[in-house]
Amino acid sequence: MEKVRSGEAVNIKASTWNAFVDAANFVKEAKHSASGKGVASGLDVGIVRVKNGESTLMERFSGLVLTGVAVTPETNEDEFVSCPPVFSGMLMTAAREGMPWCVLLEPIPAGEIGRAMVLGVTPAKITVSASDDQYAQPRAGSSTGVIETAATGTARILWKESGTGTKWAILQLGGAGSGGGGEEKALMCKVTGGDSTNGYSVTVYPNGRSEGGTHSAKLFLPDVALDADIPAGTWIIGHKGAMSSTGGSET
Amino acid sequence: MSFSYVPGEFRIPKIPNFNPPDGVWVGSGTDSGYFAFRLPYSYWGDNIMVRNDLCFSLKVNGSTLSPVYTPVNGYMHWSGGGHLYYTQTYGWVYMTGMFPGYEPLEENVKYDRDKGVYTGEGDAFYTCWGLPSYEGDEVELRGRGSLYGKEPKTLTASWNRWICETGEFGRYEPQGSVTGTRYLGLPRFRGSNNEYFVRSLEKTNGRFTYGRIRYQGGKWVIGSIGADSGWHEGDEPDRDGGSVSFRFCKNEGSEAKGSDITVTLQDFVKGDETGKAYLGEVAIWR
Repeated sequence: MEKVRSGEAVNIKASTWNAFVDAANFVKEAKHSASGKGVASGLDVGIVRVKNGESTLMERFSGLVLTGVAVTPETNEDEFVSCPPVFSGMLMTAAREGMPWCVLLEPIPAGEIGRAMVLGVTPAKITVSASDDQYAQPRAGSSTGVIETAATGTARILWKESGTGTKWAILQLGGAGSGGGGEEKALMCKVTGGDSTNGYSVTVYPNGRSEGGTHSAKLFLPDVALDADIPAGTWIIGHKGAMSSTGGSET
Repeated sequence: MSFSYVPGEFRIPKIPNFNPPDGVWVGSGTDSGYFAFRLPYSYWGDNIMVRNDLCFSLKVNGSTLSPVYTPVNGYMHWSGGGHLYYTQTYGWVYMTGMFPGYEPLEENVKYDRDKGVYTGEGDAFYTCWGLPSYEGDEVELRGRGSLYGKEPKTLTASWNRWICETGEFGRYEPQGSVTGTRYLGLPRFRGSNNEYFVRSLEKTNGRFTYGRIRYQGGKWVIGSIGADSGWHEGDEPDRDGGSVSFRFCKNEGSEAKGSDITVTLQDFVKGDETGKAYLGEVAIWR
């Protein structure tokens, strides 16, 4: 496409006109209306389709964990390669902590597919636990996909309303500076049972001892004294991590 | 999940001929209470699995002494119908009626020329200068003190465990009084097309998957039923061995070509699955 000078006759080729139309459509589809509509044939970078894997409707701005894809290469390689992926979205639980998650950009009924953001900047309604929290993540155990603030996390809070409680915020998902990802967290844990060899059952207090425990977890010790167990009620600093797992005698 | 690897070092008192492992596979679910670890250069087997017993037991004339992970004079001790512990004076002592660590008394040891026997006075105890190193090994416990010259006792070792002869991951066969085969690792199968199929750690909808082998539409298949390029139908692979044949199938009228695939157990592998857990920032040892 070549530019023309002032007063020069404009002779538009069909290919040039079509390029203009394509560009206009691209811009149009990139804009999201407040109702969450606006995507017709394609998706922006960072926006994916998510199937609500829960049994209830998930509201707009809920946080869901991406637990898998609807179509795997094993199921249908052609469809996996040629079609935009559809992820399975489920509520955050203690077992799913550390997994990727998304913010729903529109309400999604149970079992249906809608749009969600995994990378980019989006408004969201979040629960502010502490006004100086810089990050946000879905709350483990929430039945509605509540996104709450935290000292560390995978979504950076670019802006939020002042105060605590349910507030509007602007979140940066996935980009640089999105926190430690949860894997490096050092959290207060309170022993509730177990022993050194089988591991301890603990209640995790992500926001400190005074804020109350949020979920249960398993804690192991790097030094195992076989003649000494830690009694219930003991506080331990736990470092969350991924441990190798393999099969056993299950059938 | 069934086993999680804990990079924990056992902090236990010294035991002759026994080096505790540097890391342990800890069982959960159906494997709860089971531990698997490596004991290289050990008489007990390089790769063993135990249930609760993290060290061997001793037997005095058939009576079991269980390990107690508290040091006595720097060494572990065993207790049951008496105590066997290390002493500065006598080496290993077996004694009943006293606490572990008690230094027994021995007096007036002399030889009775008329009877042709040694006699002594003091506490009734036995000693030996070493422990049995493996199953079947026997060590004589000699009478000391008031038992000097009396009938000795026999000290043996036993460890109820499962041993894997093929490496860290595989079938663990019972040793001692335990029964049944146990497993550590994920079975890996190889197809006649040289494709590997590793079993999943968790079940999905009540079924494992094996790489591309999955349960679909009431059948075990490789690929997708109804795919234009065809698919294979067979049975669930068996971790106890044997081969499973997968028959090539295609849609009616399709010109797709393919051949049957035979799937055979190759070995067991760790896999690349991980589970979430916490490592505690605390160290306890003596």
